[in-house]
Amino acid sequence: MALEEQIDEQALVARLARGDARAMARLYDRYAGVVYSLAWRMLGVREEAEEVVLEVFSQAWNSAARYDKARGRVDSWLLVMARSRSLDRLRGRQRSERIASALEEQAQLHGTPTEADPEAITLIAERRQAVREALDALSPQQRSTLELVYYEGLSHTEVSARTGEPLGTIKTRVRSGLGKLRDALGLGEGMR
Amino acid sequence: MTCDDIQDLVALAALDALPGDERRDLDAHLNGCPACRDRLAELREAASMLAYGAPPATPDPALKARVLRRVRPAAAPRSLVAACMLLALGLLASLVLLAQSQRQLHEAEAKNATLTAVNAAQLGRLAVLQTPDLEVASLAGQSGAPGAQARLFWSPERHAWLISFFGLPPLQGRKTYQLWAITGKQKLSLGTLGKDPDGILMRAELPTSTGAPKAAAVSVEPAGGMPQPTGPIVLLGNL
Repeated sequence: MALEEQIDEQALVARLARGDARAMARLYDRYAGVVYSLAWRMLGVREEAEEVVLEVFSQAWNSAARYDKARGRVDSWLLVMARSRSLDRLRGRQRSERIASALEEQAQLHGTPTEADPEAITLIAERRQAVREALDALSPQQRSTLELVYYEGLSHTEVSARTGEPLGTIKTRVRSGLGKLRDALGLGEGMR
Repeated sequence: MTCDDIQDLVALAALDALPGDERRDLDAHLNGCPACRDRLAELREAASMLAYGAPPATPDPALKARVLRRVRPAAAPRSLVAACMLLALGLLASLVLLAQSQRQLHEAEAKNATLTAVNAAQLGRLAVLQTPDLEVASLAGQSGAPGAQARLFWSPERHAWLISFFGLPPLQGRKTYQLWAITGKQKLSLGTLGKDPDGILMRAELPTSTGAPKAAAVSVEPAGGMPQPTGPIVLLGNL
């Protein structure tokens, strides 16, 4: 992410902390789609995904004053909250097989993004592309292991039980896959 | 444990996938190792970027209004108090109309008959606000009119609605604000609101729809209104 964008987004969070609702509208326009897509991918239920969006932006509004810009990017701050809220919901109910069918439904229902802000559309499209390319550079095993852990909230022992592969293999894959992802996205030491 | 020993755990912790006992081992190491703490922060950031890999999905447009309402609770009272205040306002307006019509009674018998009829209609519509099925919603200003707000009251039983709006940008030229009910894929016109920034309007009519309305919106349209919304949405809210 360009430094200017990072500073611009941190200024947006500073405005949230001062109770500026227009800043909230702008942050929403930029990230609601990504937050919603993640929650939908993890939960597969539209109402729950919407609740996650509501919770994440409310939490951002209430905790903006405590946001520590030294700790990283604004999108990362929101997306960590989004995954955490989605995981809470996922773990609060029995994991079911509805994700796969929900994804099919999703492909039919959510073909065209309608973010109102053209700048946000471009920005998010660029980041999606960068992440897709970074994921394509992983081995299929690394990628599927990361996706099981990230989207379905499985621990390494649960992944091992599900795939029948040794625990050590899963651990190594998570470490090497995540390390490659970090490097491909330029998030490593001195690369921000 | 050395830094090398702990890297598998750092990666799993970045994904919140580390069970409690191993997390405690890791925390013990992290307490004394700033380098591994930095590595965890980097990997946590990298992990969060996986969200961009989820298939793109678009939230319901009305969700934005719900978020903004939640963070601005003072701007969106969905209360009985608001309903009562509007009822009182409406009654006051009706009383003024009644007084006017009585004065005009002395001036012209024919004119009076017309006004009385109008007045009776107004009072009949005010009764909408006393129906037990009265529902209330707040509409929030959108990007073209961030300072605008509206309350919408409607009675499914009486097929009537009342809207109180304020803070809309005044319209120039041959344009009007228009109110819409959104039911799934359908957008049904509830009528035009004129071009003023503030107002209270009531209609004893609701179009027949195939499903219950989920949201209401106000858009800018050419004078006279349009069968479907064509202009920018200035107010939006869930029903």
